Amino acid sequence: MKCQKIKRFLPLFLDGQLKERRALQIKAHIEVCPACSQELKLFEQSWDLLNKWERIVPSPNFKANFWQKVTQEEERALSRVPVFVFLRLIPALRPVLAVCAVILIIGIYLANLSFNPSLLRMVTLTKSEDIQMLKELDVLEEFDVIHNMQALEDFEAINSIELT
Amino acid sequence: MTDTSNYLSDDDVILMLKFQQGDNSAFEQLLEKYHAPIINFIFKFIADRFEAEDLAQNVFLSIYRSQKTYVPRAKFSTWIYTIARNLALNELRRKRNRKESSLEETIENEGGNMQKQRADNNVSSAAKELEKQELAGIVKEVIDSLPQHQKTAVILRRYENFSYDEIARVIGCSVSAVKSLLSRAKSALKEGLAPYFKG
Repeated sequence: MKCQKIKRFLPLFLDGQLKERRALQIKAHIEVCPACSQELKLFEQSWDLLNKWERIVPSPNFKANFWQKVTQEEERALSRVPVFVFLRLIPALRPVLAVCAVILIIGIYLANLSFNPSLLRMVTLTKSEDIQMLKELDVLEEFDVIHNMQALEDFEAINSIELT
Repeated sequence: MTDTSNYLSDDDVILMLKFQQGDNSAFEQLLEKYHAPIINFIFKFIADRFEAEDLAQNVFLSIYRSQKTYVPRAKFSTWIYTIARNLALNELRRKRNRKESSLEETIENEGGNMQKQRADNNVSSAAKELEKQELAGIVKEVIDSLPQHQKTAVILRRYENFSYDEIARVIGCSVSAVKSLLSRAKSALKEGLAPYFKG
């Protein structure tokens, strides 16, 4: 294998990610090639140098702050609970609540009917008021005129009719 | 055998399932075990320890919230690092967008005086280079210069000792893609760090 190709495989060789046959080829080449051996050393050194970026130590109150965040979120969630969220929590109650809602709507409708003022007035009208109201009708006001109409008096055919 | 049962040999998955059944001490054990590694992992992306801790808290919050819905579909470590990576990358994207819009504003305000700005940048980056005496800073800078997937792969391999298979799961790619990512990353690191090798 040529050096160019060997160099491409060096990172995986270092990480033990090559198949055994390929790894043996590279190992054999490195032993006799100073340039590739030097390249391998550079890969190793650069990988080791990453150690210089040290780990940080978490602040001592990290966990306390986390639990505080959890509490805050739970409080926020509670304050945002919608009116019907309990329906989701207790699915078994849904049909019962639906029936209650229907009964309530029908009840309101009936109550509204019985307290309708115009209907109430109709029910409480007295007889004298009935008569007064009928008298005020246009047809009755003109009753005399209709009764004394000439056309009807002179109508013989009508007069000759015998009532059975 | 279902996917879920594949992960029942993972102790941390077992802890998460205990937490699901209401055992809060199981969650506390996970918090204790993972908080430092997750903070460090995010810190490698964000480079601000306070922000890293804040994001790490959001990682654990998201795990805490999934108490009812959790289904083991991966090793716990793969799952938590995937959440951490996604949050860190979202934060970086948000920062980049903010930076871009503020740069656009600067260009508009200065009437397109780009030449002056470029010259200033060169001077300040030279000054920054002089300030960076610590090798840790240089390592950080070289890792930061890697493309996002390469960077994730390096951090998980070098600092968290993840296998190639686990890295593939966190990034969401094949194992051969991880091999390619790490090969290119190692070459870039070698080029970037070569001037600082001793001897």
